[in-house]
Amino acid sequence: MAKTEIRVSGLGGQGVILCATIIGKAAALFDGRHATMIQSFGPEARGSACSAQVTIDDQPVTYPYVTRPDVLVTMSPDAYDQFAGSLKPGGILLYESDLVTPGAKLPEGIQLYGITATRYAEELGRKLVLNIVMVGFFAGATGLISREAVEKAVLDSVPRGTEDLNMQAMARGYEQGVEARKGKGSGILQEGATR
Amino acid sequence: MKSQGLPCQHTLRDGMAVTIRLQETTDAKALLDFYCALPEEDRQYLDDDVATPEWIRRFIQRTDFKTRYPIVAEAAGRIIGHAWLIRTQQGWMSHVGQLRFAVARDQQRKGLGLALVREILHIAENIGLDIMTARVLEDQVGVLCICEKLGFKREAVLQGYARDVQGHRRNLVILGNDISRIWDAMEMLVADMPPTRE
Repeated sequence: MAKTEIRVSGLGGQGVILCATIIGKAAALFDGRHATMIQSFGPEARGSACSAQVTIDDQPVTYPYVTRPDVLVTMSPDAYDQFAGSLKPGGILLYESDLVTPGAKLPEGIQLYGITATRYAEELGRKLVLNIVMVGFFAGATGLISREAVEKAVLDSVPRGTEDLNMQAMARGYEQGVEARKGKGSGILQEGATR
Repeated sequence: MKSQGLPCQHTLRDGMAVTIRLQETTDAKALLDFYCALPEEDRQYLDDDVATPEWIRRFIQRTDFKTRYPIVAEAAGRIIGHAWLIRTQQGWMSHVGQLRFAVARDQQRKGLGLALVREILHIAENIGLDIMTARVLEDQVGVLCICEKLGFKREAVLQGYARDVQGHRRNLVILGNDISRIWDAMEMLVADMPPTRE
């Protein structure tokens, strides 16, 4: 599989970095590929812009910075405004559809998949797991990392005692991602798992 | 009592669909059938002689959803699992609940115990408990595995505190789960703070 550049973005406190860490861990530790992750934060921890860059490749990654991502995961309107324009034409946008309304700034031929991740997390009883819903959605919608690898990476990353709910969150996101991917039409402005 | 998320559907590892719901007064007969069908070696893990109509009657009478919160797992009109939470409303341990559960022998190792304990933990959170405890024999490996998967830790091992049906003394493990703290670590993880601020 070719080198894939991913940017995960949102607000501090949404678990952006953990989301990116799990994606990278799934690829590198459990899918046998190579991955790098770089994180950046705003001046404040909670509520400020936050993003992480993940690169996945079959070869060792020699340059870890992402300038034109193939996949953009975005969980806040500010992050969308900041990064939507940088997506590669024909790339994939995964977004939190209760918070983000895609439209302007998108390059040509972008595939859009939305999920109400926060609502799913709240239904499961913990808003905190919205990022894990997003991890599952990423895996299901892009097919870049296997479900088995994501499961192992989630279990390897979350605190003891929270595994069960996190796995439910991952599964919910994954299933929605697979459904969204199945519904892929021309690949342009495709609405995924919004409800 | 209304409980968030109950009744709920659950699919066991073999594909069997199960409904988990709060216990009702009309469950007496089905509960008696459930406990009578449990082999003696499984019943020995429970505190009382559960396979008697008298125990079932008293248990249902005492169910007030204030100090005792029982749930059942039902499939094809049959109870295949029973779990409950006991708490005191006053005193120095009013923030602590105790867990009990039993699963039909033919439905064990399919994820039903895990689902029942998970629902009991949800109830514990909903009613504002901080800590859940469970007492398990040291060789109840499956039960220990379920509890530890859901955040219980071994707080103590009481040597020889339990006696089995053959009269052998066995070790009793006291498990504790500080459900008020369990998500603190997750909150730290999703705080998106630079490593220098941690």
